[in-house]
Amino acid sequence: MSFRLSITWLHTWTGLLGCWLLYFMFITGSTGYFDDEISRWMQPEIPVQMSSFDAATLLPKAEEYLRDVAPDAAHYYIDFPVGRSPFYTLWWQTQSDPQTGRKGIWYNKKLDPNTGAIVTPRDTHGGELLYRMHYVLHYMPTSLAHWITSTAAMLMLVGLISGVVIHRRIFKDFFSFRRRKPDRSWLDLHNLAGVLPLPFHLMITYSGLILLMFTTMLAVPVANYGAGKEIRMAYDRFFSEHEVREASGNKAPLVELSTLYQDAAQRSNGHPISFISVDNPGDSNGIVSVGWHVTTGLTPFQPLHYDAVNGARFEEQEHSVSGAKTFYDTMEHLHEGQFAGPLLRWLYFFSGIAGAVMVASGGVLWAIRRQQHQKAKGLSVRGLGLVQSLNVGTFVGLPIAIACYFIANRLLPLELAGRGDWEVHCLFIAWLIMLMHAFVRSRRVDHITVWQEQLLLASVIFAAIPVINAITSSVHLGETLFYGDWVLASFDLFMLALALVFGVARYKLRAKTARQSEPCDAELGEARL
Amino acid sequence: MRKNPTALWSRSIAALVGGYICANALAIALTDVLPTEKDSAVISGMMMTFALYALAIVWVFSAKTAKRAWLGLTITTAFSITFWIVKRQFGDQP
Repeated sequence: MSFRLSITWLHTWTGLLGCWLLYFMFITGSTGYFDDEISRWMQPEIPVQMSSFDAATLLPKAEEYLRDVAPDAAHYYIDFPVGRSPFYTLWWQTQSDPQTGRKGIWYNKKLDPNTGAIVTPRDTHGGELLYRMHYVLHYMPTSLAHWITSTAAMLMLVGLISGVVIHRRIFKDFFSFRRRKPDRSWLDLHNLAGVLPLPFHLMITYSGLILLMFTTMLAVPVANYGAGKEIRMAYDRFFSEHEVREASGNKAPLVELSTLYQDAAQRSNGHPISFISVDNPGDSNGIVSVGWHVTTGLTPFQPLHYDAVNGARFEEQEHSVSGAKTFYDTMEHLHEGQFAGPLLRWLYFFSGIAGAVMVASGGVLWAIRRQQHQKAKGLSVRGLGLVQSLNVGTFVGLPIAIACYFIANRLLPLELAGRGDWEVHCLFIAWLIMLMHAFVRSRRVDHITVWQEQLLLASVIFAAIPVINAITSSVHLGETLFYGDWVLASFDLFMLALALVFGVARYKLRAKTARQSEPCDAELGEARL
Repeated sequence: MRKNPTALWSRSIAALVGGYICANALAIALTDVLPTEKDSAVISGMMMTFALYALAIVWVFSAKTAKRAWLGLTITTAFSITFWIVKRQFGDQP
């Protein structure tokens, strides 16, 4: 057994095992680079900010509201509409359970950024849930999901390393794309989508693993701190940005936040204030933190901290940040790309899509190779049908399901109980239907036909999104293009672009199949997406 | 590999389970060697574990035989754990 063959085997099987879940993670994770934009499209009721934020009149209202609705909260967090986020949101967290130590629940309310009035948008989990699904999945406890997604990421890491090892001419193949050769074009697509953004793939995989290491890699901290209280204290030391002050239990009125807002605004070098957070509001030991929105540089700024009762600013402490913490933070920021401007954000998005294309083309390639093997040897290959059906039902079925998530957002009745949850159910029901379609249809027809059917449906359903949007809301292309609202317009236009991509893929696949129909050995390997 | 499915399964389990244990053991030993204070050494160790795990997996599949792969993992793990225990017992306590 040669080294190369062995590593090829490793690459093939880790890839096949991980490809469907990794595809799901790449697609949903990529949407996360536009989560705010998607959320905005999904909540057309929220008014757009018309002028600069009027803190002097709006903040006292917000304080009053928070005091009324959550007088005993452990935290307040006020999110201002800056940068990509158009939302003015009030958050509050209930006290943690003294018995179990379980952290309190966060609630939020969205406000009109112009008047401060409470808005009640439709119930939806928006772009945030879509993006969170890439590491918390759905219908399962978070820690289980972290284990599953980390396993997939580990398969990905091994796939990348073994892929580089077996890739003999990695630099030459950088730029080769042999479109006319059967099955070569799929291999080239696989290489292109894997090699060109390889630094991104390595970064996103490794940083993703690191972000979940507090669930998956417990041996090291447990060996050093034991499994008890000391480990939690170590984590707190690691994560806390400023000195944590325990609540004293003595009531004291909260300082006026608008004065701290003004003070911070003067120190922020012209950057807009993006959040105010209050630890232990209404307690004599409360702390107010004010941060601003910075779009340049990887290193996050340190927010300003104030005493929550007298409003005195704490002097910046020269606390040295360890190398490990810096590395962790850098990885986190690289993964999340919060610093990225529009251009870099699209690059992030398309690199993520390239990851999806890489794992998908790998899965397709596996099926093609087995099919060739089957034809040559005249044996039936176990699991080929299963893989082929999972391929179509996931690689085309998942985009269709996400389209259904958006359509459900427009079509589900506004008064439906648990509406936001039902949008998500629609996503998974649609995916299940596409998987079932793939399995059932491939018993009767060639799996190329199944691909064609799902590609056609994908094309139609993505084209339908802007249409349904136009019928059911006032933020359709006619309006958004007219007023130059490029965020909302881009969403609809991108859906049309996807419709085109799926349509073209279907057309090409059909043309290839028709050309080859005489010897009747239609081969997916001929088709290109 | 196709000819010997038992060896294949053996290798796969060695990579998946053995590799995980071995990587964690190595990382635990490394936290005692790193010249930083304990908190950051622990975090560094955790972050390193994934690279060690990936290396272990690739190494298991590049070993001549499945037996050798198991042997290598066992020796590395045993050495790391012994090192850590000895350091704890006899090394200077912080």
